[in-house]
Amino acid sequence: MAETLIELQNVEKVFLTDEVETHALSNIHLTVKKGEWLAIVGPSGSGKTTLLAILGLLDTATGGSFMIDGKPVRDLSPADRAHVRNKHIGFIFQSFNLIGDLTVFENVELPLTYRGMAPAERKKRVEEALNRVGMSHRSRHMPGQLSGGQQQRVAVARAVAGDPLILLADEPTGNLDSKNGQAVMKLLSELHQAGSTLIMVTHDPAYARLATRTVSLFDGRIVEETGSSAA
Amino acid sequence: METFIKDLRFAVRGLRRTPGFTIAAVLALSLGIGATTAIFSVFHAVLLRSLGFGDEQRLVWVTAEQRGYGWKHGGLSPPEVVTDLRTFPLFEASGGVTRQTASLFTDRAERVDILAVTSGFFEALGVQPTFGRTFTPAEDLKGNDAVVLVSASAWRRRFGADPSVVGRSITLDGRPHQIIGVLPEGFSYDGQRDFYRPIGFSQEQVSNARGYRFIEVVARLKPGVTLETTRKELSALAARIVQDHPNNYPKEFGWGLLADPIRDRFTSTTREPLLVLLGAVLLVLLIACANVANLLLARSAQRGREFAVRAAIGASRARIIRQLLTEGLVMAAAGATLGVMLAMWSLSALLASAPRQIRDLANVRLSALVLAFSIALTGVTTLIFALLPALRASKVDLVSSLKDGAHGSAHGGRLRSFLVAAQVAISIFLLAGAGLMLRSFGRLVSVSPGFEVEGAMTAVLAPAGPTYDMGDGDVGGTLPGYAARRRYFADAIRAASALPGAQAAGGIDRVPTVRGWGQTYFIEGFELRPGEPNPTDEMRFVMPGYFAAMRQPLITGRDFTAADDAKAGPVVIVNQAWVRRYFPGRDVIGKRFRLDELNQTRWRTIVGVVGDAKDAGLDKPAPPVFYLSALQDPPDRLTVVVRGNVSAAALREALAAVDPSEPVDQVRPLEDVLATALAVRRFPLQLLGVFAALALLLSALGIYGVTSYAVAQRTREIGLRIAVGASPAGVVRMVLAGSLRVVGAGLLAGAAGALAGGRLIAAQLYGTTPYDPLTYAAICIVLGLVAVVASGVPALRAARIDPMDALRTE
Ligand SMILES: Nc1ncnc2c1ncn2[C@@H]1O[C@H](COP(=O)(O)OP(=O)(O)OP(=O)(O)O)[C@@H](O)[C@H]1O
Ligand SMILES: [Mg+2]
Repeated sequence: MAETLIELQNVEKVFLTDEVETHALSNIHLTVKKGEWLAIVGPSGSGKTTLLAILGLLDTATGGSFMIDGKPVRDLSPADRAHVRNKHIGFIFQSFNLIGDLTVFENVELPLTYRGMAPAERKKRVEEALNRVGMSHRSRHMPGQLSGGQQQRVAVARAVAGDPLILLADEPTGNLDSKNGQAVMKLLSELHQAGSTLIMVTHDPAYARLATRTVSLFDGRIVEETGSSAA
Repeated sequence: METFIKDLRFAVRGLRRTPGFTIAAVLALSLGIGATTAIFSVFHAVLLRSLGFGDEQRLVWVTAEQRGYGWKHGGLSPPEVVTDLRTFPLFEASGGVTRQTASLFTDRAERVDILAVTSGFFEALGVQPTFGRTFTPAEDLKGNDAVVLVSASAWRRRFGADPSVVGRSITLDGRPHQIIGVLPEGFSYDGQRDFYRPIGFSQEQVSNARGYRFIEVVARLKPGVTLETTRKELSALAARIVQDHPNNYPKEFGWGLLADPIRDRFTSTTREPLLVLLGAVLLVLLIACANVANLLLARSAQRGREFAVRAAIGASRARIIRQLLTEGLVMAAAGATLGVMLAMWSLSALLASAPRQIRDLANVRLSALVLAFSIALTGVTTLIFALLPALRASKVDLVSSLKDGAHGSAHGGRLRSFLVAAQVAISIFLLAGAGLMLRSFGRLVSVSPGFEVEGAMTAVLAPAGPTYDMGDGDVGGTLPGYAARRRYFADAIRAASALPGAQAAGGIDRVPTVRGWGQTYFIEGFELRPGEPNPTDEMRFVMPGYFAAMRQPLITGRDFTAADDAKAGPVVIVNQAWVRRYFPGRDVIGKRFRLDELNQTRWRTIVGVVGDAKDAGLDKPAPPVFYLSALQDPPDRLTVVVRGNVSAAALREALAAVDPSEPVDQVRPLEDVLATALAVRRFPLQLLGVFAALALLLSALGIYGVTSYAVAQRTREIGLRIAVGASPAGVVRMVLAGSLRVVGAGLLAGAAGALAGGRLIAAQLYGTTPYDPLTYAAICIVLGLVAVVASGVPALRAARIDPMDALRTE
């Protein structure tokens, strides 16, 4: 049995805005094993992004326990969380989120720079990652000079360059046409084949089926789980 | 019209929606307008405005020069004023003038500042009395000179504006003077004075006293006569005078007559500091403009999308421009209104702290011209930069704005950075000026004046009643007034030293740093080089105990004693600078000298040497000085100095009791005398300091604004960086580095500019070069700290950006 990477127990998230409590997540129990590809589905507003943000240490849960690789992460300082994010988590966003003033190469290099990696090592990893997504010929371009599909491939390269434990993707195909969307999904499949652990939010049932397991959210709760958690 | 009102309402609403921006912009505008207007009003009043004399172009100021000594603008003697110049054919009228004080006795004795003039003075200035008449030539002579003119303000204050005041009598210096007229409202020559009276020459002075040089002359040229011709004719006249009186004008004097526009009389000393201040305040205005431009640029970038949308749904460009213009106008109007208020307020603050040495500050009014200028400048700036977004709106690149995948590059970022760097550069320039002047001031304050400043009280006695009459006032006079003075001064010192708390008391005619008399004399045993004239040095009169009271050390010999009186042989004390100048390294006790005047045949013997005092001012090296015994040769006035814990009131009371008919004047601690000497320097320093602070404040605002704006623009980018692992400290560092790069560039440019412009203020510095590294280091640190704080606040805000913002789509 593969080792457990992520373990959520009874996690809840309450947003407080103008005296109004929004229960974005309640009673979430979730275990993710190494090498799994988990799809999170659900209607708009059901808490998918919130869950992903908590998994990615971008946000903190208001209740419950959360362990990554056997270590509790709830009470880490912002600097330590930044460190964990940087080292163990790769993000792919719906809107690509490349920095417009940096070249493709520099965008991919960014997390490695924050890690304090030596330049030579950085260069090697960036080239590797760009190769994997088929974008090495564009490494000197600015993001504005790329198509949406190309930008998302660069974003994938940035996510994998640091060799993270987990890849998180929030509707990675949301802003792409179907052809480009399929290309990105193919890329993710390849990463999964190569052993990466993937957690992906998607609206598209066809893409969800590519995952080894699917979790459905409704109103902040897990209402259905399909697929085996054994991968 | 209706659309304008609609635009107006919309503009006000828009500005109110962004109060931070509006307040910052209006504040920057009003600071710029206010400071510029205040300073320029002073500048205008002092340097540009009419002096209030009729037909000023024809007025000249006549003084003497002694090229041999490099002296300019020296005084003229009675024969020159009354005989030579009065009949000078190019003058329509001319008159002499000198400053005096007198004791006015009403119910108590009071010292008043008086302008003493000759007949022709008012005629030359073109001033006619409101009531009565001006002085006649006959009244130039002693015996006829007990007449007085009253200023309009004194007429109201002292005589209840009574029109029948002409013909009444007042008691000046113990003698009745008849009021012969009232001068017109607003007239002043060199400041407010209550009374004007004849100088009052003796017949002997008018005929012979050519060495008695203390009068300046104003003259009105005949119509059509140029300054050029006047100068030529005056030098011909001077040559004739020298030829006719070779004894009074030795060749080596290089004596001559100068004629200058009357304005030079009043502005030659204030022009330079005022120009420096004017330059400084214009720089502040420039910073304010840059600031407003920057704020508007940031705002326009934020609104770029709004205008793109408006344009897309069909708003005409003219429509958008009109709306922006209205907004700019509203802002400029608010800034101008506040600026005027600020100008009025700062002007009165300015005048309250200004030294009296600057003429006619009381008459400074807010200058409409200047106000218009600064409002126009800021208004134009506001409008230009308010319009930028409209001009940009048409150029919005739709394709790239639709491709919202890439974030970060901000429009106009480079221009904004440049404006911030420029503000920083100007601030550094101003800070350098203020810093250097502050350093000079610090040096000056810490200069040892050669005596102990703290813990002494002073008061001035200037007996002027008939009892104390000195005639022509020569040293060694024999009138009974001389003996009366000796008694009066001795009694005064005795009364002062008897006060409880007094440790020592003495007196001097003028306490340093007030200048004393320059006196020409002959030193026995000092060899003049061929053709070198007899030396002229500063002569002071002291009472026994003065040096002890001042704690000015006695180096060798002895102090004067009560025995050094009129019956004893004349004695003198010199300072160390005197010894260095004439007998370096030698013992001067017992050496003798003789004052170079007609009746001065007596030899005076040096009995002591005292340490140097900064007699000529704190910023000048101690000059050679010799001290006569006031008990032998009583001076025109005596400054009593009491060391110890003595109150002003007690000293005043004790001295008034010595002779109730004589005023006791300027009772103040010794340190105040020095503070007065420093006031002329402190004033521009304070102003420059205020401007530098303003500049710093505005720059901080600029740095803060631009950094905040950049952070707001980059929210998503920074969120993304945080998401992929930038630590909070890393984000702070990144934002700070970005802002400090710009600040650093401005700092370097400003420092380079300040170094290059250093000589602009070199003349106002003391004890420091314009390139003082310590000052530069200090201001760079100050500005660096300000920049760190100003960009640190938005940098900390950046570190708290929620990385979720990067995850959420727009
Ligand atoms: N910062 C916040 N403050 C308050 N409420 C929030 C905040 N973020 C999310 N929510 C609320 O939490 C709930 C879940 O939001 P979430 O973004 O996780 O939904 P989602 O499943 O990702 O939706 P979508 O498919 O539209 O992206 C929603 O009701 C949302 O309004
Ligand atoms: Mg979502």
